[in-house]
Amino acid sequence: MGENIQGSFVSEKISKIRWKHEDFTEAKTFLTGSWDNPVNKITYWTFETNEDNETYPAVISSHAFLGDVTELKFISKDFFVASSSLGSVRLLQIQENPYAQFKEHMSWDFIHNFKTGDYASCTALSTFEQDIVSVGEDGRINLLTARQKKPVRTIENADSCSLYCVDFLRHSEILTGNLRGHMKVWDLRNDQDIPATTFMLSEQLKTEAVSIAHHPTQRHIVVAGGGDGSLTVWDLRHNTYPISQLNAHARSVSEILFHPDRPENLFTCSVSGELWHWNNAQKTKMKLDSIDSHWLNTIGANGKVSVVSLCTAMHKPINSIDIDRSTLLFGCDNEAIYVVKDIIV
Amino acid sequence: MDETDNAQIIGIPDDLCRKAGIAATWIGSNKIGVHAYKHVSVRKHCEDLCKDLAPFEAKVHSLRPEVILFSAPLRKLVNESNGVFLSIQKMKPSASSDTRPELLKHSKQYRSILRACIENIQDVLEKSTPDYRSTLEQYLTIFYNVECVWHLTEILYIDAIPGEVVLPQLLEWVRFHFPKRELMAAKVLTKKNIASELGNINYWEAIIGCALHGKLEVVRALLSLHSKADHPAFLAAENALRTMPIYNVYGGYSINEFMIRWKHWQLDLLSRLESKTFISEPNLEDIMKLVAGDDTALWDFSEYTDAWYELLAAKLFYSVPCCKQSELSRHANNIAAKWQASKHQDNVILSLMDSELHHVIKEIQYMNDNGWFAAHLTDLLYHCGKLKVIHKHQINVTDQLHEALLLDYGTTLMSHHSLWQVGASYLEHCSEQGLARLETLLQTLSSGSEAKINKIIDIARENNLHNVVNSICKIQGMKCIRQDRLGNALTWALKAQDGAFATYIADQFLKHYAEKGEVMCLDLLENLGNCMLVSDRLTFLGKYCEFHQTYGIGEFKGAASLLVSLLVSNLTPDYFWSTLLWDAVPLLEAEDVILSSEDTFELMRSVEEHGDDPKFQDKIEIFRLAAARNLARALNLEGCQGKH
Repeated sequence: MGENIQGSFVSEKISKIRWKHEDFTEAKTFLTGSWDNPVNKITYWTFETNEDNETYPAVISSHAFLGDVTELKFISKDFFVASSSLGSVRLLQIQENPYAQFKEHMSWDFIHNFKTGDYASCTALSTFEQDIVSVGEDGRINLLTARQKKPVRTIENADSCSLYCVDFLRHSEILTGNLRGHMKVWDLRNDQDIPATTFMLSEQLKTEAVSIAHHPTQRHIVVAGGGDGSLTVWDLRHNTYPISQLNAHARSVSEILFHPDRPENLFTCSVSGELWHWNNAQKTKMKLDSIDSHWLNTIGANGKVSVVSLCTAMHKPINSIDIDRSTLLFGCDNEAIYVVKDIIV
Repeated sequence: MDETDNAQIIGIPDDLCRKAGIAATWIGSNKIGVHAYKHVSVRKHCEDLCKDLAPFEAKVHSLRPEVILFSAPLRKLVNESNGVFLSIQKMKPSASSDTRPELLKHSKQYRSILRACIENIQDVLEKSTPDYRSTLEQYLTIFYNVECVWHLTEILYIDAIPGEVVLPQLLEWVRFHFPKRELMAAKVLTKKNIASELGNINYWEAIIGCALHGKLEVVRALLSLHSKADHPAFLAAENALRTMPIYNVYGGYSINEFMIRWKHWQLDLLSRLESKTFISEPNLEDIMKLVAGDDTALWDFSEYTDAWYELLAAKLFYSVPCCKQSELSRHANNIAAKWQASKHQDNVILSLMDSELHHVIKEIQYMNDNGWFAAHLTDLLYHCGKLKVIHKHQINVTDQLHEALLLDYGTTLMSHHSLWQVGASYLEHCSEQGLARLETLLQTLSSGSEAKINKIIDIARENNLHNVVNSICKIQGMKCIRQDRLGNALTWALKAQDGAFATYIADQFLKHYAEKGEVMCLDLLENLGNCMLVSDRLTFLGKYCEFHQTYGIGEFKGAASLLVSLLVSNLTPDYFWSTLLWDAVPLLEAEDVILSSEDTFELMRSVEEHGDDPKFQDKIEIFRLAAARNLARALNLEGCQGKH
């Protein structure tokens, strides 16, 4: 393990890890969510310094959570949404005064469920300002807004398979991916409950679409990770035929993350325990003449992109990553969280 | 193994059980359900029995062993040590390069994990409630002992001892684990008072403690703080201690040369003792007797030691400074016997010094750490090639022992709701029975969200346990069917490439269509691609959907040829013939001639063969009429075209 990586064992498997980004300064605190415990936790962390001048993560407060934490997303500076494997979504606020705690502002209970009345896991959610879209194993899409208890819209039978991932392409358009690798674009302005477009993650291999991420400044560029470890890139302006497809990780991709400020950097992690940093060797500035083609377009075709492993492969799945400036966090099934410092982006 | 004396008796506080007797059944891998039970063979007796036992309340008591490794502070140990374990497994056994330094590094990692765990427990202890406190203190004792034994094992078996002279490492080990009196000495020294013996009641105890550990500089520093430090007795002691030769492999002397020098120095000291140089200061005289290797003085000081091996280190330091590892056992046995050491820890350490590793491994299984220590230490020794365990029939059982310990440990972890992934990684490294065990245990894991199922399947796939993948997918599929989600059920069947199951699900789809006239899950079925080939029935379903799709967009020609190919394919299930035939009617009745005469003959042949379905009886006339009309039109048309 490298010098710039520090791990802390936390006695629970981490399903999600998210920085609490700050304006104009480095993030100092973050959230984790756990899974596979009888009662799971959302924990709010900061960094403390010990006598040897080493910083280490320390708990500020912890919030019991029923079901596995399946997603954590901030919608503003201190408000975040959390989804559970019991089909609920919660809107929580991190309060600092009088003491650090989580305050629940809204709870959409069991909005994902099966016809038999069983809970269905809410597998993913995506946010756009105050709007939230959640998808679940029941193949349902719920549109929520932070200030309203009743879902704005529910697309009941959006998919006959379990939905695994969702992303806002723009305010009126979402993209979902399911267990079979079917990707569907939904135009929310359309009242009919049918997708605008359907395309495949991979034509040959039917594998689940596990995660989606869009380019921070060019939202039409979308990357999806497959259950077989592949990465597929689309430019949705043109058509739904993938512009590149790569066999990346050895096993299922867990999360894909663009660096929010430096989008030429992409990070991916996998069930195989790998954590990779994809960096366009030629900076985007050099390519002003061809603004229209993004480096991801040609990722498979030429060798301009460098891929670096940020750590020696973990022995257990890495479930979640997040980055703030040059510091990356990741959470792993070995019941540990890791901080990777000084990443060159 | 014959360990009858270790049986544990657990009382079941249940009146009914007491009266009737009990029976028990396994629930999962580490739980048993105990309930009242009495075998009754004749019905009449049963009624009597009911009277005897009434009123009763039948209860099932569930019993499971307490696993301390599942407590929060120890879960860190479990996870972190798993990383080291897996790194060791990844090491390539190569004859050319020596793996010893690498393994020593791993051994030190294990120990630092243990230290971290102990420190962590101490931290938690400070903040915890009194009732939890005693539990934590118990953990502390267990892992202190574990670390102590591990350290000695590392010195004796994993580290390479230069020149086989074991004393320096042994002293280091003793100092590390019995720091009490050295801390005492440090306290006295920091005060720097002259006449310390008056200000500190522990003054002499600190000196003796340090002398027993061979910390001569500290002893000298303490003596110099004595009020009579400038008296001849003290000056002589200082001189003797300063000039004592200490063996060092890299010191430039051979062992023989060193022994001559040391003997010479010892004789000198003995003559001073005889000439009563230290008589004025009895405490000092006793210490100097110890330094001169006097056995009586050594045993007089045994009250200042906490364990026999502390005394052993002192004995070797002052009497046998060049003790080789092979001679250690003799000295250790002498001391231990005289000390009457009988604690569990004592036995383990003595066995270590006796090089009886199989005995050590047997003993460390009773350290109440749920097998963590035995599994990891055995594995490390196994990789060092230090482990040779011979069964009483002269069979080498090393491999079996190694595997059995890993199996037990892995199985224990597999029963935990969160640590099962860690447990699996131990079973994966048991070449004999590991996979079979894994295969069984993976299927007993409580299911949860599909995310968890996917992780279980992932482990099964990694280990080529296709049976497990199939079985889990099927269970998921059946669950989906119960929840009325045929589409998802089909996806699970396809994931496992399970043809029979896919056929079963495809049947459900077709039956639903035959009854209700609507296709479910079109979004899935239309995009099956070549996955449909996994089962004939599914192929039929996929093609049938394609037919509807083609028909729906007005491609009647294409739809017709699909329909005919379905008819001749011989894939049609019996219950579906009527539906399929009825689907042909609109095509037969279409304005343009879509079906050729040949196709129509095919349809007519099919209706003769399969049109006897009672559901179809009222439609068969319509069908025949439509077919006849289409045939007439088609023949006409074909006849015209033929002329051209």
